[in-house]
Amino acid sequence: MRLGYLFLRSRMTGPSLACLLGVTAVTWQWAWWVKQDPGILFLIVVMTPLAAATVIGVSCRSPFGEAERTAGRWLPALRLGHLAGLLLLGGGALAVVGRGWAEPDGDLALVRNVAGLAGLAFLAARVVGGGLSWIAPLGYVVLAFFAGGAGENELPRWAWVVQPAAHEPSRYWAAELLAAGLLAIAFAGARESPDAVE
Amino acid sequence: MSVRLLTIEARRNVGLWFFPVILLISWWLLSAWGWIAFLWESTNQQLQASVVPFGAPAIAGAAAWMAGRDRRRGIQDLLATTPRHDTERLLTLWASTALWGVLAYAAFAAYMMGRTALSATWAGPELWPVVVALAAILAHAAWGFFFGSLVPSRFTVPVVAIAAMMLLQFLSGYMVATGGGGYSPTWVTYLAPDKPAYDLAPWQALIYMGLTGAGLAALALRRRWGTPGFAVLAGSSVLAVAGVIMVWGEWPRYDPAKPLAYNGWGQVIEQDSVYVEPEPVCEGSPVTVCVYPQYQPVLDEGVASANRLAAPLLGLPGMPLRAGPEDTTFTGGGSTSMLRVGDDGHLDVSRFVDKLVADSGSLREGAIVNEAQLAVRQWLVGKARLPNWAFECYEDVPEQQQYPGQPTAGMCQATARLARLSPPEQRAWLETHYRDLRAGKLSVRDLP
Repeated sequence: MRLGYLFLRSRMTGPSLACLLGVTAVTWQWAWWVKQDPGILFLIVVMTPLAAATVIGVSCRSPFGEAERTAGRWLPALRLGHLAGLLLLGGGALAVVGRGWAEPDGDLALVRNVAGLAGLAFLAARVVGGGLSWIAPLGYVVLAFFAGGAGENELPRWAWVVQPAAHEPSRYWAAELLAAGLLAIAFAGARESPDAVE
Repeated sequence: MSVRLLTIEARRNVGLWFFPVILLISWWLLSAWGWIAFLWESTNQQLQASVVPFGAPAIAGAAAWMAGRDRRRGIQDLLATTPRHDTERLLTLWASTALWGVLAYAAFAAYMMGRTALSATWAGPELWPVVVALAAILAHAAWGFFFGSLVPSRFTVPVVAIAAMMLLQFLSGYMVATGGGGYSPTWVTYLAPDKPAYDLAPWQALIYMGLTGAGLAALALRRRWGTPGFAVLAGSSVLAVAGVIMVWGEWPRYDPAKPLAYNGWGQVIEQDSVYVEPEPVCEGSPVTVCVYPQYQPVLDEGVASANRLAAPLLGLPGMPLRAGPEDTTFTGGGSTSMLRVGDDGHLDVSRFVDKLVADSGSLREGAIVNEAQLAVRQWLVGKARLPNWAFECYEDVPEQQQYPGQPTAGMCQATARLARLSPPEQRAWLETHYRDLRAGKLSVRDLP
């Protein structure tokens, strides 16, 4: 119990939860303010999960580095539990907010996007470290957002984040990314950043 | 701010890693927007729209990250004991981070404008939109740095970057309902720095220059209260607010009832000058193709297409030998490959083919509806074997889905019959029937 508590403290779970709460509050307030405008709800369905996912991505950084790797016990289980908990809380809170929106199945789209973008953030955290892991989902969302920019009627398959919630392949994309990201972080951890920019 | 310190900070800066990422994503966006390298109009519009959507939020995040660096390393107290003024040190760190965003933008702008300058045949660069995007990158860096310094937490970084992106997308996608289910942009839309609007660009630039100054002044004031800081903050805020007011005021509101355009102060917006159509450029023989001068780089391709299409009809009485600008359409955009960005675009001469088989009196609302004309048109297109001209004959199209001019089975059979004839037979048939064909007096049954 104490081990779990200390692990969560080391991962700044308190500030992470505060940020997730903030993201949920902004989502709720924004959706209420725009009065179910479908254009803006579409923006919210992509952007607020992006914020939640990147916050969770940043929290996978370890402050202890190699010392934790050599002396830590049950690290994969602890990492998995920590991230799964944050995902459940972040995704669940957004799903509650998204119920009853004019955007069809807005709650499901929010959950899918949190999951997939968090997976992307975890994979990026493995490569560039937790602190800068937000850059991958941010870049991906920009690409997906403008994937139909040239007037194409159909979005490319990889732009799952902007697909409607009912689009089944997009759920698989998100689930696969999440699984890959969770596995990478659970077993290998986020990259330590001994470089100059950290 | 010493150059040496700036160089050291720039070298040991996260912006260095963001530089290639910004270039790559901007390149991808450029391909998505369908940039046409030889058109200044395309370059002027797409420079902003390609770099800002990712570059500005990314630099905001990078600046927030760098602002928290000293705290992450636990060297704040150590640095406080050094003789250099802390505001100056922070400004150097901000400048070195913003520098990478500016460099990425400058490299991108230099490439786009350089390529256009080498290939364009008409018009020129618009410099205000270039300034708008530059000012927007600096403003994002300034406010990102301010928030990163205000709340130096790791969580501030993604929140700042994503908030910047949300705001940008919210502004640039801001539309109001116009009735009848339509939406249109308003003056709020043009507060976004990735929305090119030549008349509003100086005011957009003013907004972002003001925001840059305000962000830096706020940063300085956080360290030390003082009159100079307040003066800069007040002056910059006035600039930004003035820019917003001017965008609101100068944005044209069109009144379809008059029809006139008004500005925000109720004044009629007068046209500066009457638009003078540029003199077309003509080339080719026996069929001459004329285009507006900006399309000159694709004129050769248009001449070749028009001559291939017209070849079976050459010498027939009444056959048009000139394709004017109204008979051609430039189509471009939507690069199919990241390696061919800027190259796509060609001159579509399909309206000239219409002219070859139909005179203006036989058209209905500008379109061919006579099946014999359509059949011969398809035969000409098939014979010329032009790329991008594929058509299909649908055998069983339900009646409610049919539209005038759609290739029907009967029409396609007539095309096939004509194609099966030997060239002398085709020529003989055309010599006898070409005039009637163009006048719309034939039906598919009259085709051989």
